[in-house]
Amino acid sequence: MISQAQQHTISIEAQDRPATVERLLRVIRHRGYRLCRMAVESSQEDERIALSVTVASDKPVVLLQNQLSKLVDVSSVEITSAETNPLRISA
Amino acid sequence: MTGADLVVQTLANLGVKTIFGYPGGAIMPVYDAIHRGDVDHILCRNEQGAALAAVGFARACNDVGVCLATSGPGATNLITGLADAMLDSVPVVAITGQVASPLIGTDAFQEVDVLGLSLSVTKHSFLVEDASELQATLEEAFVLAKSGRPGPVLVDIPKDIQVASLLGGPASAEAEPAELIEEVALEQAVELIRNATQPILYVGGGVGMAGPAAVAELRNFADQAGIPSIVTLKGIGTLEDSRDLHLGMVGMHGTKAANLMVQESDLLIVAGARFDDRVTGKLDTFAPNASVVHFDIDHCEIGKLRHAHVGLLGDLTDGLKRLGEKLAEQSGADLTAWQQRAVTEKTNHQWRYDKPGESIYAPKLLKQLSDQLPEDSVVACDVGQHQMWVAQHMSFTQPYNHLSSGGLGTMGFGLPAAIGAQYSRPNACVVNVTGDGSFMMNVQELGTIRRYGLPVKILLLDNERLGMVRQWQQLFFEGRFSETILSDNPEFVTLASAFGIAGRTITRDDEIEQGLSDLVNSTGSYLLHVRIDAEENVWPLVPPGAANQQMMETAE
Ligand SMILES: Cc1ncc(C[n+]2csc(CCOP(=O)(O)OP(=O)(O)O)c2C)c(N)n1
Repeated sequence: MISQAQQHTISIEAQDRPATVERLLRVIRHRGYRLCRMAVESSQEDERIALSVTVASDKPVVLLQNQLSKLVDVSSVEITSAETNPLRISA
Repeated sequence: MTGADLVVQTLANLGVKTIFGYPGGAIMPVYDAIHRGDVDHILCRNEQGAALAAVGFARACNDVGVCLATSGPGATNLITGLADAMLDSVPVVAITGQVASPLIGTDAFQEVDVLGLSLSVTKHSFLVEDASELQATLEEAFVLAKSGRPGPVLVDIPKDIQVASLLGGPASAEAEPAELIEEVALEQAVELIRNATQPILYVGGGVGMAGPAAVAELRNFADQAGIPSIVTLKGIGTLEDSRDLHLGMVGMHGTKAANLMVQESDLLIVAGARFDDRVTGKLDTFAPNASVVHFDIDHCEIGKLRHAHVGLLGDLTDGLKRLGEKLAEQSGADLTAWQQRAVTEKTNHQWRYDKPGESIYAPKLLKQLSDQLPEDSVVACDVGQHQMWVAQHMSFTQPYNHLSSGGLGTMGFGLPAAIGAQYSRPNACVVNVTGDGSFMMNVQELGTIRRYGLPVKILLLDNERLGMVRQWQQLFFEGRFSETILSDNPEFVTLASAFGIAGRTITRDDEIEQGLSDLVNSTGSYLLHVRIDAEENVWPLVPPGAANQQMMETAE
């Protein structure tokens, strides 16, 4: 099956606690999104971490945004860009 | 004081009176502090039992349950209980000991990465890295467990922090108040409700979790709006079965009336429910013509599986009240025909208990038990056919009285959950309804009943089968009964007696009355072992992949 899998880039800001990045990655995988690109920047002084992740899925990205923003350490989740790429998804 | 003393003192300051746990190396300082502290510790006989007791405690009183375990195997044994709390949104705080900070990451004795392990089964989890953060972390764990959509929170405490020398202070952990539902959203909901001619109120476990005031408000709303209602497994007790327009449980083993009517509805007013697959059957055939107005505290649930025309995010009690007030301002569509339909369907599809023969028909026995139990009793069941029969044939007047593992379907839930409930509701009659498979999953908790002399009642429905799996094998696997025959069960009454628990076996219909009376009236714990027909099935059944109106009612 060929479906129009959207790629979305999401900016996430969070408190930098043990397991923060693992939590985010787990939610992305478990909720059905494929990680395409990721950049992480953490600053030691203010214990903040900023991530930019590009994900692909045929599910609406807002569902992922909701799940990520529910995480306790996360302070903001913004969808910064979207592009449509044909992605092969086997059912 | 030590970090361990601070743990116990903080728990006491937060109002915790009872915790469930099991000691071991990496948590020994905390156990030492318990020995001299002000919190009652209940020793369960497996950490899974402790976690599920905390769940039962929490669910029966709608407050936080607490469990405690050591590192490594202690923590891994907790996991099933935390997953249960996660899937049923139960406020639980779990505290685990961890190897000392310098040893973390060295594969030390009984070291498991519990923080990593916790990620998918908790709402949040902490590894305390600095002794100065210990108290604040514990307080935050309680706030998180009970705020918004409740859930389990784990605090992993390395041993060096437990023995560190610390100063404690007064502790507090108030749940964050829910935000109020937006006015515009309520206006939109009112519009849809006024125009609906076949509305259904679809009620889940979230209403009970929002508290007794939300339950009362929902009942007012149902009365005032005259809208026929259905409940999920976890919504049972939120609306009383005695209401004319209440159709009972919806879904895989729901009532015929509920499943037929929901499919025909033109508007679903969803309160604290989440379109679980056990409720909807094949999702895209569920209530196909209905618009959706969805109340929830968790924004992730709105639109997750079914598009909501109006999402009502926030405080349910206040929202229902305001919705009711707005509806009262102007009358809506005439619901008389739809209400009449509800009454007719409910009457036409009442349960029947007139099964011929001498053997014991479990649904009838449960109906009789339900009629005999005092009003504020708690029933904690296990998982399987007996669980569905409890849901179908027993009546509950509060959601806090029916403890059933809904989301995770955890066999072995019932006995420890009943123990937990007996602590949060010490004056209530607490009954564990179990099956011969489930009972053996946490049978060690009979030791907890014996140790504390708890009056927990056990009703064991013995079909010598893993009945629910056997039913599916009969219906969907051409009768290949792979590993579901338990004809080699132990002598259950003898087993109970080894723990000082009285009991008897009944096998015939004419023994039910005396058996139930012995169970309900015993002053201490009691096991009523009931032999039932191995071939009995739970009906109706919405088969996998079918729509809710396509219920099977026999095996033919
Ligand atoms: C921990 C766990 N393992 C397996 C299952 C799958 N399962 C669901 S119901 C069931 C049979 C339960 O048998 P029993 O407790 O005797 O109850 P009955 O269905 O006979 O009433 C099984 C094995 C489960 N729900 N939980």
